[in-house]
Amino acid sequence: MLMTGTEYIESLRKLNTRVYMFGEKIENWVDHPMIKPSINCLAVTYDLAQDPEYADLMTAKSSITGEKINRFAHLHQSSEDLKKKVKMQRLCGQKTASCFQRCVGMDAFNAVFSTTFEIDEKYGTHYHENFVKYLKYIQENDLVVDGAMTDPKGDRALAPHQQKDPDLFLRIKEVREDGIIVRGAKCHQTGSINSHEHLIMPTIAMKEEDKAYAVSFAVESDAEGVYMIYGRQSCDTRKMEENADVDLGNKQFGGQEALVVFDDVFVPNERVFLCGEYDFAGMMVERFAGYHRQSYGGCKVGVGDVIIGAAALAADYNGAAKASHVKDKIIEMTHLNETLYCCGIACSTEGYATKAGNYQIDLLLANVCKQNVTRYPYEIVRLAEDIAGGLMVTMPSEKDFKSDTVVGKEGETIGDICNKYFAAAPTCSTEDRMRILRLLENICLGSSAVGYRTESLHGAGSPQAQRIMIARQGNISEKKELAKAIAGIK
Amino acid sequence: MDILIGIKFCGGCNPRYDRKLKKEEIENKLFTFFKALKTQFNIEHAREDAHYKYLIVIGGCSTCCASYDQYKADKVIKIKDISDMPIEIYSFQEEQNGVEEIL
Repeated sequence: MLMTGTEYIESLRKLNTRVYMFGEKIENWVDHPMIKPSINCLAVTYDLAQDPEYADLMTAKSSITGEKINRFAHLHQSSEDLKKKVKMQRLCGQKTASCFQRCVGMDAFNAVFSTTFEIDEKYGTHYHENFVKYLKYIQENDLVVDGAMTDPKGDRALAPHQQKDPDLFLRIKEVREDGIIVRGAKCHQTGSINSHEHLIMPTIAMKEEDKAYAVSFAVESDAEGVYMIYGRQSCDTRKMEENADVDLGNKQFGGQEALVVFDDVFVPNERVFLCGEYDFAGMMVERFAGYHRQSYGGCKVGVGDVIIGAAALAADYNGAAKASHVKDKIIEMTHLNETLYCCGIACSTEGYATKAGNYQIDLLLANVCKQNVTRYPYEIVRLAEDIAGGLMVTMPSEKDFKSDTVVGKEGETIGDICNKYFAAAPTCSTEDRMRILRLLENICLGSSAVGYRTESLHGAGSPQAQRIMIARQGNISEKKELAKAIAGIK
Repeated sequence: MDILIGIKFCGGCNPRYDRKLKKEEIENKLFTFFKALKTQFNIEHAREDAHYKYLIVIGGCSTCCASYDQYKADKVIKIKDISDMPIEIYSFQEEQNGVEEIL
């Protein structure tokens, strides 16, 4: 059954998830001012699914039960489904201007579903059956799942088994008759605190010596031994300021990352989806990464839509909208943003059915998509900052604008002075101008820059990871033959 | 018997016009139209367990990617632009009594 946003938030209160921040345990993390905006983002993924105006993208028919489910829990059944996924992500980016965190789970579902099918085919294991049962439970209860891949990795020059500290890659510590004990951590986990469940995957392709690290499983977020340490964001403590509003830029929404620790956690057999079959670790990683690189051709585009709108408004408010170079910058931002969208749609359109039946994106095009995402958002925010002007980062606080402390010789308050000297085009109030500049600050270099900038660079794999995949998928030998044929080389 | 009309929105990822306002405009026009014909009609968000005389799919752009195969309808009408109207419904009067076009 589909939950509402409010029901989702209430469902989080029933969890005993262990969350730490600033060196202390946070008891009521659901209402914590630094965490709440990221929970609001996820609530949007529930509320949009209830709204007929958005339901076509936000919901799908389950291939397992035939019931209506949130698309974030869906196994893609066609290229059309893959395209709708990208469109849904664009929509969610537009509505939140933040990372809405739910796509990691969706991408993990599709990667684990198809990989477990092929593991079972080779080894006669029952991982696929385990996973289908698990996903049915997730779909029926409309849960948020953190698809967790990135290990701390320690010394990058060393394989998992060579690390001085064996926990730097999450590993199987003990195999028991009824399940496994796992130990280690996952870094940069988007939305982990806001997730009901965690679905763990290996982080790299592995060899036999790393067998103990080839593991995939699911646990409840409040399982015994699991805890999370909240990741700081630029300007995050502004959210702790009393009555904070304008200075936040985006009061309602935000992203979230955390370090998730697995301190000897027991996983029952029915929740294990890979256990030592090291030759499939690479397939799971590659498929998840492929889906996630496609995802960025949707979510970042949606946030880009908001940035372009904000930059255009800033130009209006500054009285600069008619300047030809400003118009051209808006065009350039749009061009860059829609290029990212083109890539997301292209890799979806070229999707194909896996052996398990769900649809996989075109890997080459998905990697090209993400490679562009490592660059274009940086240019988009540069242009946005250019249009906004320096005031975006030098403006006094909201408290100053509202202060009635007298500072002028004629009795002017700090608020009077701020409103006098920061007024611009008569079509907007000084407060509206301040709001749009703070929104741009939030996305370009504030707390949401985590999602729009650095996540664009390193999320779903750093740029070099895509270049390796592009090299593998580039079909250079065929291109050489094409050149030989044209040049008359035999 | 009342004429049953279903409305289905696309998902709205990058709409070129306000689809909600368009729905209201269509509803108002149809109200006038069916009132003139002295015919009762109902318009609702499309449900899979209903059978519609007309299913109006409101797409925010020319792609109009909304899926509608899951609904039962005699006729599917797509709206892809702010200027589009479900003019096919106006032929309803001709089917009924052959009167001249009212709208």
